[in-house]
This record gives sequence, C-alpha cells and structure tokens, in this order.
Amino acid sequence: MLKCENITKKFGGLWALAGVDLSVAEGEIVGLVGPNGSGKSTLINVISGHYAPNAGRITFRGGDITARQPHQITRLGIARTYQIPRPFQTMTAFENVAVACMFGRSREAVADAQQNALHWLEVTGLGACANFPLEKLNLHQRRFLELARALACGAELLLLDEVLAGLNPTEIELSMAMIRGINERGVSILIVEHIMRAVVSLSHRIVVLDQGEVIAEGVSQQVMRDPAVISAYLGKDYARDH
Amino acid sequence: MNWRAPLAFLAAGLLLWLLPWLRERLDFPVFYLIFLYFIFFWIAQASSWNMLSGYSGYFSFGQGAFYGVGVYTTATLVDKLGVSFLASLPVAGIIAALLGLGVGFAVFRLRKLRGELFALLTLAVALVVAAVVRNLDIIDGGYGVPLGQVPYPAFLGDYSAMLYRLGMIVALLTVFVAYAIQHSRLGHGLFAIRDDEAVAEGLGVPTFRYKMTILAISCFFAGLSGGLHALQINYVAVESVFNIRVALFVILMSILGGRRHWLGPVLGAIIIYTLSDRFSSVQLEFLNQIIIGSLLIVMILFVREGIYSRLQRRLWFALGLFALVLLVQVFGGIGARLISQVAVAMLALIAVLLVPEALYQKLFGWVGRHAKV
Amino acid sequence: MQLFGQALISGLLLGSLYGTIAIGLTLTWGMLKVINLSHFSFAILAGYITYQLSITTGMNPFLTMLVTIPMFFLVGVLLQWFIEIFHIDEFMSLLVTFGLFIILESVMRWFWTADHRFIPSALNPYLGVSLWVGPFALPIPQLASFLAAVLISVLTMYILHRTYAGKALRALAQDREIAGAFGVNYRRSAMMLSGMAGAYAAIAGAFISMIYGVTPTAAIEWLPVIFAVVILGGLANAFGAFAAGLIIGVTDHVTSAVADAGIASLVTFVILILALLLKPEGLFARRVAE
Repeated sequence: MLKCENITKKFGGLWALAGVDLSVAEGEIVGLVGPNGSGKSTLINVISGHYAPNAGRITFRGGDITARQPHQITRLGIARTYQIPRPFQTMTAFENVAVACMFGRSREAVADAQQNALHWLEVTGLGACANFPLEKLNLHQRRFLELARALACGAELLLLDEVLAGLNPTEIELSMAMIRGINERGVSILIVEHIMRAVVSLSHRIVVLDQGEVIAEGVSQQVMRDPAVISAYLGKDYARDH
Repeated sequence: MNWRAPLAFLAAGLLLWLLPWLRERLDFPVFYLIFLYFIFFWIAQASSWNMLSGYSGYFSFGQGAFYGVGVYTTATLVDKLGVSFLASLPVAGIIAALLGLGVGFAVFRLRKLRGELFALLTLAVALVVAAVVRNLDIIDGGYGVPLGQVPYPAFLGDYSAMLYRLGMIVALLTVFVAYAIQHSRLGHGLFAIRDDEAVAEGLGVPTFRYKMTILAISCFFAGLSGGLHALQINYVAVESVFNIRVALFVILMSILGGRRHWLGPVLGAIIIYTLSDRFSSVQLEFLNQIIIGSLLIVMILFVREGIYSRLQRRLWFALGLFALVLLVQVFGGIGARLISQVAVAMLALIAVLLVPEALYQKLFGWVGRHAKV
Repeated sequence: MQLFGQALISGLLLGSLYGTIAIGLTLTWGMLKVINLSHFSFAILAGYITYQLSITTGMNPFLTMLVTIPMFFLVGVLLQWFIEIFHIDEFMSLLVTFGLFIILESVMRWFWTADHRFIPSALNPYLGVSLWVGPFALPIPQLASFLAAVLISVLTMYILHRTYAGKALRALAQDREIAGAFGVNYRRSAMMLSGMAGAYAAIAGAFISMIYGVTPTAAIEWLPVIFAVVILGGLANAFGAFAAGLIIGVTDHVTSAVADAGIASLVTFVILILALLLKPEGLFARRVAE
C-alpha cells in the first residue's frame, strides 16, 4: 500500500534520513521505533508531505506521492496525528471533526459534515465531549480527537506520531484497544512509538531506525532478539518493560 | 444556510428603505439620515475587514488602501471619464478586489508571511497606493478631485435619502455575505486556517485558494463602500482619504464587537461610531482618540474575543440595562438629542459587558437565575 | 555633480537619524518580541519636550537631552514592565502599542495643538550653521545627530556583544519560554533594554525637534520609513539598523534630487514591501545556526 524507497533527507549538514526503505501493506500495523534522533518523526513528515525528501520515492497504492502538498496527500487517504495534539483551539471537539469531514476525502457539505462528525466522535468515545470547548479536554481526549479527525478525513493509512506519550497505563490500554479497533475497520497504521510493550503488542511488523537508517525489520518477536537492535536501543527500555 | 436568513435581510432592507419616507411624514431632522448613512458606511467597512482578518486571522492594516482605491475609482470615473455614478460603484469594488488579489498573490504565494509581517506589509501597501495616487496626475496629482452634484435615478429620493438608501443596501449586502460565509465551507475553512494553518492544510483545506477568495471578497466590499463614500466626501483628496483613520476604526470596531461572528463588526461599528460622533459634537474630539486608544488596549488585554460572545451570555440583562438607561434619559428629559441619550445608554452597555465573568456572576448572577432565561 | 554629492552627504546625515530611531525599535522587536509602535510617539513627544524646555527656559536644545533621556529611559522601562505583567505576546504588543500610539498623538495635539512647533533660531544657535567641507555643507545639528548615531550604534553593539547581560539577552531572545524560566534577571535585563530604546527615542526626538520641528502627525510620518530601515537591517541588529538607515537616507535624498520628493517616499515604501517579501530577515542578518 505504502512504499518508501531510499528516502534521504538532509537538514543543513545533518543527515536525518540516509536511504530508508519502508513499506506498509494493506491492513497492517507497522511499528516504527528507534532511539531519539533516529529520524522517525522526520520520516513521518516526509510521508505526509511536510518535508520534501532530498532523494528517494514514495508510492501510495501505486501512485507517486513524493513531495506532494500535505492537503493533496490527505486527499489521497493518508492522515497523520501530531506528537503534541494540535486541535483547533477556538472550536469545540465537534467543530474540529466537522472540519475534517468537510475537507477530507469525502468533501461533505456543511450539513452532512455536522452529522457525520458526531458519528466519528462516538467511534473514538468522545461523544459526550462533543460540545466542550477545547480547554476542557485532557491530553488523552485530545489524542483521541486527533484520531477522530484523522478518521473523519477518510484516512486509509494513519500515521500515528507518539500518540501514547504522556498517558497513564489505563489510558494507554484504552488507546491500544482503540487503535486495534480502527485497524479492524480496515485502516492501515504506521505507528511511531517509544512505549515498547505497546508497539510490540500492536504491530504486525516492526521497523527499527537508528541514525537515519533501517537497522532491523520483521515480526515483533524476531526484531527484538536482533543483537544490533538490542545494542542500539532496545536494551534498557526492553528490560524495563519486561 | 436556510431561506429564512435572506428573507430576514430582505425584510430589514425594505423596512429601512422606508425611513426617509417616514422622515418626511414625521418631520424629524435630516441629521438622522446622515448619521445612519455613516453607521451603514462603517458597518460595511468593518464587516468587510473582519471577513478577511477576523475569519482568517490574517490581520490587515491596509483597509485604507482598498477603501481609498474604491473612492478614487468612483471619483476618477465620474469626474474624469463621465461614467454614471451608479455604474462606477461595482467597478470601484472590482478594482479594489484586483488590488487585493495582487497583494495576496505576492504574499501568499511568493512568501509565506507571518502574521506581524503581513500586517506591516498591508500598511506599506496602503502607503504605496496613497503615494501613487498622489503622484499620478490622471487620478489626483495632488490636486484632489471635485465631485459636486452627480445625477442619479429619481426613485432614490433626495440627496440625503439617496446616500442613506445606497449606504443601507451596501451595508446589508456586505453583512449578508459575511453571514453566508460564516456558515459555509469557506467560512469553516477560514476559521480552521485562523486556528492552525498547517493543520488545516493537512486536513485538506485549500488554504491558498480560500485566502485569495476571502481577500478578493473583502476588498470588493471595501471598495464598493468606498466608491459610494466618494459622493459623501464630495471633494476627494489624498490626505483625507488615505489617512490611518479607516484602518484604525475597522480594527477597533471588529475587536470590540468580536471577530469570530458576523454580528461583531456590526455591533462594534454602531457603538464606536455613535460614541465618536457624540464626542466630536460636544467638542471633545481629542478625548475621542484617547478613549478609542484606551478601549483598544483594554479589549486586547481583557476581552480578546470581543463583546459579542458576552452579549450572548448576558443578553437580557444587557438589553434591559440599555433600555432602562435610555428610557430614564428620555422621560427624565436628560441629554440633548436622542442620539446622545442612546450613546450614554451604549456606554452603560459596554461597561456591563466589560465586567469580568467571575465578578459579573457575583454581582448580577442572581438576575439571570431569577428571571429564568 | 555637486548636487549629487550634496544629496549623498545630506542622505547620510538623514540616514543616521533614521538609524538612531530604528535601533530602539529593532532591539525591542528582535530581542524582546515587542513591536513598539509607540516608539515613534516617544520620540516625537521627546521632541515636543525639547521644544517646550527651550521655549520656556531658554535651555540649549542639546542640554534638554539631560532631561529627556532619563525621562524616556523610565518610560521604556515602564512599558516593558507593563508588557511582562500582562503577558503580552508579539502580536498583542503591536495592537496595544498601537492604542498607546493614538492616545499619545491625541495628548500631543491637546497640549501643543496641530501647529508645527519649531525652536526659533534665537534659541537654537546651531540651526542653519554648517560646517563646510569643500563645496559641501554639513549642517551642525545633522552632523551632531550623525555622531550621536555612531556613538549609539557602537555603544549598543558593545553592550550586546561584550557584556554578560547583553549576551544573555541575545541568547534568551531565541526562546522566550526558556527566558521565562530565568525569571527576575531576564525581566530586569529586558526592562533595561526597553529603557535604552526609550532613551534612544528621546535622543532622536531632540534632533528631530531641532532639525525639522514637530507636529502631532510626525510620528506616523516617520513610521513607514523606519520600518523599512528595521526590516532591511534585520531584527535586533544594531549595526544593520545603522547601515540600512544610511542606505535609505541616501536613496531618499538622491531620488529627490534626481526626480521628485513625492517619488522619493514612494521609493521608500516600495523598498519596504520588497524587503518584506524578499528578505524579511534583513540584508545584514548573521546566519543563525539551526
């Protein structure tokens, strides 16, 4: 479904991504992990169109999407969430999702969008908060709002950028269930995450980045035993989580 | 948007149209028609500004440029090219819109400018336009353009009635468009752009297209209203047309009234113009600017969202207070003209609306609860 | 040829005055993220005070700076304090100082009326006196303002680059949130900087008063040119402000000599627009490491 070939991105003299190959198959959840600074967020930004890569190609469903504009990429079915949620501050949760319905892939009319927005809020469990002003939502709810917005856009591939950071264990469990639920509805997911047990549990496959390069890839259990991975990164975190 | 809204606007328009006819029957001074014309003028200017700057968040200091272009387009067409006055009005709007599109293209396409720089750029554009107009002899050349009495269709009534009615139509049109946009896809997209343009773009909002669209619409109405105003000014000169006053007033009116709703600039325009007019009439002209400057500072610091949202929440109490203060003056024989009495009542209204929420609940909350509204 | 040379000289002298006014603005905008529109009002108000003191007490206009400089240093400090107390961000500062600007304009009109206030030559002995270098005239007040501008630029650059407080401010200017964590020290340095800007405004105002005289609308007349200087010179860049001031001053006078005074102001505004569009970081920006 999504194929990144030899993605390279430089900032000034710094190579953030040095020839990354990554793919996500239809219906998969792929986990993207790696130490800080390994280039995970940069890759997400390149895929979503916010940065143009210096080299490499990205194809989605066969079509080339390298260096397309962000809104065009959304139009094609790829949506992303942000590490720090960025909801529209002066709107309610409901209005936030309505915007996504109006301008996402389904391009709904205002009246339809307003009806469908409620539906997506229900799906992510935010039905009760629909008309709350943004200040009243906590971090967990804002993350789910981002998810609702991404779904309302008609996303078929979701790029989740550290959606579990800062949540307490209960919230993490709820989020994981939500993510699985979304995947079961047919949405493919590329999830960037630090919380190892979550990634291992959720992902069908894991890709490990270190200093802009892929150092391991494969089924969760297999990857975690790879010595290169353990030495680069997993060692402390994995031990702590288990 | 349902059919009720256009109908309501149409009804308001018809009612207002009749006012000059009523004036003749009841014989009240023509001053009121002129006063109302100015209210309509400022409603149109403030609404057109707010459509751009309030809805999209791209704060413009250049209203003077688009308004001025409208004034001069009409003045030049009518005086130098003998075009009919009414025909010149839409042209004034279109020329202003073209200027806006030019600016928009440079700013939104070539350079993604931050908010403050956009504000400064629009200010610079206003100054450039003024300098160009001053230097081009075919338009002004520093001499000014005398308009005098221009011919117009008789059904519009006498001169002041004509200005009043045309001003009313332009204002209603502008406000209706602001209302329509607010409830449309364009409006929702603009509000998203205002909150977070990058995210809006990520969600699929066509930001460039929408910004250019609203810029064109906003400038069109600024120019249209300006073209009409050329007739009011009569002797059109660069210094009086291209000064900072228009830019300043529309900003303040919208900030006072509220920038997120089409009613905000309307309220702001009515209040600011009334107060300003009353201050000038009692020789307190200088106080005018001091109050306006202070009001701007107070609003920015304490009531950033404008009085409209507070008015909504405290509606009955505020309206009741307004009516009370007005009636006390009218029946108590306090104050000179009706307008001055209205102005005082407005001051009371603003004072109540400026009270911070917490304090308001303590002092007046019981009114809301007991009045069961 | 002589005309051109004189225009060049006059342009440099005028440009130095532009620089003096611009430095205060560029410092507060670049380092403190405060776009102080009332900076111009401070300058003109100082000009009025210079005028008033000369008229009333017969004080030498240069000496009035002993009064106005501390006065407006204090004004600058108070403004920054106000901004800190109310947590006014960059955009709000534009609007709030705009409000202050129009209040001050009204106050000036109230006290001194709309008439052009000019210190009569009896009280301003340097007016009209020029130093002659060959065929070129260097009017004394303008020459003094040039020297003042040079001094101010050098002083500011020294403070910003050689003193601890200056370096700290420059570092903190990059990130206001971190600056907040530094608490009291940042606040004090910020207030000092704002005070300095106020003092520079006072100096500029004194010269404006001596050379051109003042009117209530003067503040807005200087506004666009100075913004052009600030943008062209780059934010927080004292040297840039001085250099850009000279460039624009020369452009202004040379264009006037060659074409027409009306065209000259047009050229300045066009420069402002081009600067905003093409190089918002200024001609003299130092490359900042990412």
